[in-house]
Amino acid sequence: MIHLDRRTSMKRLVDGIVRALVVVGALTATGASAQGITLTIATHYTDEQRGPLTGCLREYERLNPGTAIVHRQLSYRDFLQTLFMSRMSGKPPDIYNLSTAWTAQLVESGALAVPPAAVTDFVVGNYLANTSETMTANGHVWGIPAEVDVYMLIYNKILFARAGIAKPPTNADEFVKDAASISKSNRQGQLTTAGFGFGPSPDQVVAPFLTLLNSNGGSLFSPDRKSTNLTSATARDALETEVRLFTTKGTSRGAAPNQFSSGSLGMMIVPNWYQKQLHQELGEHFDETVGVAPIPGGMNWRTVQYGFFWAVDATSQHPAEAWALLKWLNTARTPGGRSCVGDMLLDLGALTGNKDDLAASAADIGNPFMRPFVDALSSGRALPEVSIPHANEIKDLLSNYTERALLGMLSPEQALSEADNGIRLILRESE
Amino acid sequence: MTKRQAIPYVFLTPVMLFGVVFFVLPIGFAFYLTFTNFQAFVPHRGVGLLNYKYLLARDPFFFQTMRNTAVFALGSLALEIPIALIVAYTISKSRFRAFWRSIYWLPMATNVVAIAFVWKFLLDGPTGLLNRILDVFGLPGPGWLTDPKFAMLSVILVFVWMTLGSNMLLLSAGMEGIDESSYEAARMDGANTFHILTRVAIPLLKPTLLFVMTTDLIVCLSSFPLMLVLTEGGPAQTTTVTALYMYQMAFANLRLGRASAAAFILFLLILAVTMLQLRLFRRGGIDAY
Repeated sequence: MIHLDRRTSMKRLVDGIVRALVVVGALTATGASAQGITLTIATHYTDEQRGPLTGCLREYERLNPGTAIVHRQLSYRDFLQTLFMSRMSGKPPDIYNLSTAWTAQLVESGALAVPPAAVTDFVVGNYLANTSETMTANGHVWGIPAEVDVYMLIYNKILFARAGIAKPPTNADEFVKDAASISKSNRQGQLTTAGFGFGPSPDQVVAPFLTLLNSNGGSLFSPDRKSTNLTSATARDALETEVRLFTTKGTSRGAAPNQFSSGSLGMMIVPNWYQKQLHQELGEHFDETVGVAPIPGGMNWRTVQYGFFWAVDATSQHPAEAWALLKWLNTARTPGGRSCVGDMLLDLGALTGNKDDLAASAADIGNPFMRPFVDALSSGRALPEVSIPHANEIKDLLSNYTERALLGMLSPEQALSEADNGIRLILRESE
Repeated sequence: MTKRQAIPYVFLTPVMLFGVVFFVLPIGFAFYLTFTNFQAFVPHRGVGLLNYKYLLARDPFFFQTMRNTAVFALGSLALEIPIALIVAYTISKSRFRAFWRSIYWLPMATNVVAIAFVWKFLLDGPTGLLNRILDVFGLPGPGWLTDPKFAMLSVILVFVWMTLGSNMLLLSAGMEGIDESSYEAARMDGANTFHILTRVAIPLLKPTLLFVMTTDLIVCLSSFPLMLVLTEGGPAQTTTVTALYMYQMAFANLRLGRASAAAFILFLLILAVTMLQLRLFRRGGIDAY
């Protein structure tokens, strides 16, 4: 009797659990359909930087009931690492804002979703070719171009005038001479005013060298991207120019672009987004202080262009919705107006390859600061950064050896030869 | 096994499980990774000893970082132990001991990132306080953090300042354990303060010194946050220690297999140095320690 009671109770308990599970399952399913989908976007932009975009995301949610959009901010330096970890954990974001330098690595690993034909057509028809080329690999355009930045020479007009220099340098010799003329040292031998400043990040160490290399008619990689041109005479000339900046006291390792606004830096080769920072720091003195000039590399000067693009993760559960959102964010909101992404980028002081956004931003990009950057981009003088596997590692290695030459620890030939060896090893891995 | 014999293991099971999940398994997995080309976004495969071979024979920076690690560890130990000893001895003979110990210990309560940022300002080339003070006396001031010749020295000095409190506290505790009668006997025999420190206090402090030196050496050989924030390993990698290089390899270049191999090489180095240190210091009658 007791056993029977126990069996009956157990049966009732199991029945109850099964019914409860069915009810919970049904409720969950109903709830899920009512909740709709959630799209996660990962970018390196801070809350303040993506302000205009956030408003658009909320608007998109209102226009598309059932779609929720979550933003995840990742630091630029840790972006690939975090992206990798989130993919390992099975919870990657749906949408990424990626550096174009990583295209090859991410495409090779199958991390990115192939965009639908409509998105590819949208990119081909609406963006400057040199911005979409950097995210093209294996016959596909892997997303929608986003921020574009171009390096140019920014100089302090006041310091130039004080040094009796009428115009910014146009070639390597003038560059070195002007930097030395502007520099001032204290009695301890420290530069209190530096003619030129660079670094401290690997990007900012390498970029000036690459602009001079490009201006000399060189390029970092061979056309097949299996070796470098670092042992060429053009590369040596470019690095020697930078070394001369050090030996003539035109700069020192401590002179960095963040000192520009304090009036202790004559020149720096930096991207266009410095505009906002300089405006904030210099205020009403911006126009009388800041000048923009071509890279001092002679008549055939060239510069470096780098960028970002929007992509969708290959494992996203909602690729169609993700691409729809991206297309909406990058389409002009009103005829003749700008897109949401365009609003954010122009507010940041960044450039865009979106033709509609460029056309609608005459006032923002037509000012004396931005005009040279836009001209460099549209004239083809800005050469896109090459997308190659292990791009970050290659940049770090080149930065390490460049720095050794600048600080006199290695001769330019030795440094470039060592860098060439190291980079070849990395490139060979990808074969 | 009887029930009585099994009971301790039952109680130990949660701790052992914790150890297995959070210690043994990760180390085992890391060791497995050393034999793969594990890197982010690429399917990995076994590569045998290739990671070790690369680091020991082809990597252009690995041995430099080992050298930097040795300089940092030896430099730090050479400065921090004598200074901590002198400070601990002085405090043990002074009034308001608790107050002085608190003051010297304060940097330990501060985050390493905050410490690095404060020192970055103090050691700045043209505008840093240190160079301004040197200038007042007409002395030259180098780029403490930007000159390759001075960067490592600067990192060592900041590290010594940062860890002085903890060493001083441990040595003070050791000194408190020395019977006052030993000092009195020495004084009666005519010993001065220097003699008491070198002939009485230090020999009796050997067990504490061994502990401080061993733990400090392990910390020095594996530490990198200070360099990461203060110099980012620069200029030109002159302050990149192996632990920092390993971190960059794993989390910037996403080469997890190679970084794991570097971690095991560093582990073997630390183990060898620690064993050697223990062997040397256990000579002279402190085997019981």
